[in-house]
Amino acid sequence: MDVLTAGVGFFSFGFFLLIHLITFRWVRPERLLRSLLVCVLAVMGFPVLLMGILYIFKAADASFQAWVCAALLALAIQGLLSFVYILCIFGPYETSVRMRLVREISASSTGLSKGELLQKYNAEKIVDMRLRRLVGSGDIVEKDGLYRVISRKNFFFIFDAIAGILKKWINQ
Amino acid sequence: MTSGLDPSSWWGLPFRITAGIIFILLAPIYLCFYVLTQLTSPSKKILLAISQRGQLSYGDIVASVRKEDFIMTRLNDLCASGCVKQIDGRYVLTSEGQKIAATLSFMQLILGRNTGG
Repeated sequence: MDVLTAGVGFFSFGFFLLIHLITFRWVRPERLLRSLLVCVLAVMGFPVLLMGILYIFKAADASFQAWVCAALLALAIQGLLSFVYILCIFGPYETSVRMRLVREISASSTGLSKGELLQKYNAEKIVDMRLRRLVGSGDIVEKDGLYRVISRKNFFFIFDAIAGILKKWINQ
Repeated sequence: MTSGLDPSSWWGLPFRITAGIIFILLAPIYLCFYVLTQLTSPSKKILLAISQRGQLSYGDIVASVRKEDFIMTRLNDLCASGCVKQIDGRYVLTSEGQKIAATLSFMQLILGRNTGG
């Protein structure tokens, strides 16, 4: 039952990854955050569905309680794997300033001076990309040339609040 | 079914490997949040700047991001970590940096997405 649970969790993550790799080639930056959320939420039912099928076919001899726990734990593994993938692999690839700098320097055979680098990548480009993503995800709106935050219940503020609690806890 | 905590199982249910995997997966998430306590991302900076002032123009947002100097601080980090070095005023990749660039090119091939940043 234990191996089955872990297997379903990893298999479901593989399914998420497959969908992500196929569909996200065509997702525009302004739709990125919303598409990621939709993709993660849509695939979250998959481990539960898979566990339900395995329960019907009695793939393992276990109590109903164990099957319910297994479904929830498989969901947890799939969710955590997706979260780690987005936070540690896809996120930095898509948004990291450091990674972009490495790519810009790598594209030039003789290296780049500070001026050349700032011509290729600068504060305006950082802001343009992020505003496109944030407006697209509905976190901020633009009206008459002014940007406003719609809701503080978005990932950035939630992450910031968790990081704040963590910081307080570390400093104690 | 056992009652209470059994060291050889997960609340009496046979999920030792699963519990181990969840524990291992929580470690990088903790590290990500730990990094967030030390660093401000440009997106967070933009949202906080707008949120603090109620509303901001494009120029004001650019000014707040420019003030934070994300590019030079990150570039200095890359130099300090040995991924980038400065030769005659020009920034070039070290062998470590070239490995990262090769990994990013491979990821671009797999993901099929253009340069982010």
